[in-house]
Amino acid sequence: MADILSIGANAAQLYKSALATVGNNIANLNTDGYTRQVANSIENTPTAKGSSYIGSGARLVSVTRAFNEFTESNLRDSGSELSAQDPLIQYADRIVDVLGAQNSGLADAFSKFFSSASNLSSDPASTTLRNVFIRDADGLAVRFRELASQLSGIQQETDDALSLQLTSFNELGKQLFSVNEQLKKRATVDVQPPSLLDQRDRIMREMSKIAKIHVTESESGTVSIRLDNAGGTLFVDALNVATLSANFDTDTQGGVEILSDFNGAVGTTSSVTGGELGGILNFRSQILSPAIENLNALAVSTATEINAIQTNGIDATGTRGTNLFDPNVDTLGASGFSLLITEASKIAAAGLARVTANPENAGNAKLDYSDIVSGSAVPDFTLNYSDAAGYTINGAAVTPDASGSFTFGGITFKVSGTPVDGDSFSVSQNTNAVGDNKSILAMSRLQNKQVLEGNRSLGDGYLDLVSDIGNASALAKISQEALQVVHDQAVAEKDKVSGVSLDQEAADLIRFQQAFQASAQVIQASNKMFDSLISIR
Amino acid sequence: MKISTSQLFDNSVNQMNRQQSKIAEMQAKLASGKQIVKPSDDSEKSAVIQRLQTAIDRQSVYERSLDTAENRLASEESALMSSERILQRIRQLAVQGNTDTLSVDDKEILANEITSLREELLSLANTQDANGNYVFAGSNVQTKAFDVNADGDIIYQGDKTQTSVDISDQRRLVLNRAGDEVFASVDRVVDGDTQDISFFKVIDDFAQALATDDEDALNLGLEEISSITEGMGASIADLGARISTVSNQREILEDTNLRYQDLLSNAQDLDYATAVTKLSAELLSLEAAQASFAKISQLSLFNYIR
Repeated sequence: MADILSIGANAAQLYKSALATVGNNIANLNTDGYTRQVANSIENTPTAKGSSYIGSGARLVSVTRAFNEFTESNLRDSGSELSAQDPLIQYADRIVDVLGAQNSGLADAFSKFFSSASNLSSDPASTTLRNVFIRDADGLAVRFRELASQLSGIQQETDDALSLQLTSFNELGKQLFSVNEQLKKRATVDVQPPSLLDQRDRIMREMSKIAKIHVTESESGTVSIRLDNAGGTLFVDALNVATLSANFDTDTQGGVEILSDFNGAVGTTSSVTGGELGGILNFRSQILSPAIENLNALAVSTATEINAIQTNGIDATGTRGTNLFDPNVDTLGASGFSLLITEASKIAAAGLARVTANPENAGNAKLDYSDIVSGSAVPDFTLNYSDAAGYTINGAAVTPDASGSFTFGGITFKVSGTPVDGDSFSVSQNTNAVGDNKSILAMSRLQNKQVLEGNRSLGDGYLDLVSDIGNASALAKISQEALQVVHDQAVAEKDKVSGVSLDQEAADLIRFQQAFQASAQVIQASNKMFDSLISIR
Repeated sequence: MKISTSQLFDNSVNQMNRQQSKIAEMQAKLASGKQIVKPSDDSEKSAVIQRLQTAIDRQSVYERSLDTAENRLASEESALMSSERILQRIRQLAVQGNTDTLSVDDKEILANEITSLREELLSLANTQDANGNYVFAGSNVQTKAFDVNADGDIIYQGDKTQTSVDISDQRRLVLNRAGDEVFASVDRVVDGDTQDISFFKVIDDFAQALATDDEDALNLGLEEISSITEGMGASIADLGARISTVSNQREILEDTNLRYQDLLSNAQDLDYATAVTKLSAELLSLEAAQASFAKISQLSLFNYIR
């Protein structure tokens, strides 16, 4: 009888705890990082009665977390990979929106510049058109500078974001370290307070959103953290916690090193991958730096090509053209793209040399020139042809190569057609030729000229630059969608194990309530049995 | 499989958020009438649009070049046509004057008329276009094409440069001809020596011959005037060819432009019918998500425990 009473009393105790656990689960329904708790019972040692064993009830042994290490680490890893895509997409889209927009991009500025070059070519003497050309040249320069400053603004933002994320990561490291200190007080993980373990897991989940981590758990539940994988840089162990910092290299575009200070030992780490940090680093190395470099290269090509045409021309005052854009762009980058000429008359619209065929020429030969070595003075000479001596200049023989080209005074000339004995051409500086458009026509044609490698024009080069970034962002968006599915799956798996379902708790509530009532009945039965015995008279 | 209560709520909210953002995106497209609101929506397509836009800009530049060319060629044409008429009159006078029946006085009257016609020709040779450029001065457009030098001779001050403009990606149009080719000189043999006699000198000499009634000179002059008149005719034919190039190219340009505009419209303009249908579909699924959430969220075992 005493047995029955104690069985009933123990069971009532047990179900009271179980009901408290259910209550706790319901109460923490919306607590972030809460893991469902389960009250575990065990059968008491039965007592021997002769040759049989009579059971002696059950008791509570532990309240544990419904937890699976594998689903937890899956959740962390998928979270790292997913959150790495976000900064990449956001920053890349911003660049594409700035560079690719009709009004803020370069395509429009290029188009305007070449259009006004072309308009000027139809009336090179017009001061109005020359001024329009200068305005649009300045527009091009301003656009280059604006884009450069937009890109460096984004770089600055990612600098700040990197530092901010590193600070949060370090903070989480410190928190984890102090949780570790608490966990050290107990020998095994099953006797650790569930809330402490929840706190540990929540910190690690947040860390993994910032960077991918590799977790090793000890028997007592303390953890050591390495960055990326088992071979990565040690960040937290039982004794120490590292501090990460960023070291920006101002010499290279987007250059940055992540330094780790672990108990005084400072070194660079290359194992920051995944998470926001990994995403930002990826963006900088794969999108931002190439974008800045490509824009700078485009600025250099643009300035070089345009200057080459300008300096091979004659301006309205009859002097040789000077650089339209600052050639220092090759060291300053796109941010140093500036217009040097502001006077309309300084636009070198005319060709450098004037080639005049002798009106008496009987053959159909033509003489033209190209490729002027910069700085070379325009030679003043007459090219004669005779059947006996071939081509001569001032009596000295000139031998054109297979394509009809020869070089004289730093200028490459080309003869096409067939001359007849006695034909001649005179070449001199192109003075007074305000109506000549040879140079500005070349400028207008630069729009479609394939001056960049891969047979691309300047405009193509720019659109490719924007497309490359757009493609990277589009690819990241596809990965993001895929990774979102993986992450959702991991969340569902984790939730299946650790989440609180009200329906389940309701069922458990009824189950334990009924068990508690039954236990009370057992106590009452024991009481009635005792009463029956006592009432025997 | 167990679905935790908070996950059920989170999932539903996420789904509705996603649906909301799709609807907002669709709405932005409808409001702007564009398939792509931001370049980042589809960078490939936005590159295509920019390429087309550049090509269209280029066509309008060609159109402007054609306008300029037309304007300039029209100046040339009217100058040449007038010149030809004057030359014909001079030739008429030359024929008239080359007879013995006319008295010396009459010939002098003719000579005077020819001299004044020559003045007119000179002013035609110095024709300026709408922008004040001398049409027949080669590339020296700001210098009078023909002027009287210290010796009283009319000399060509322009150069032989022919400027051309692009009127399509492939096609170039020569804008001008050097003045001394249009108002061309003739070869004259003087004492067994071939000399270059300028256009205006030919007329002057003829007027002189008329005035002095020099028969040999009159015959030679008549021949030379025929020759420069012919030359003028050839220049007009050449000009006519260029003018017809302009009008041909204008038609081609219009076709090209239309084609590009069509491509651009395909690339950037929104197909409203499809877009509105899509929007309705998205709205429908949002409504469905909301309705189902309202129902599902009410389900709980606790409702039945009394």
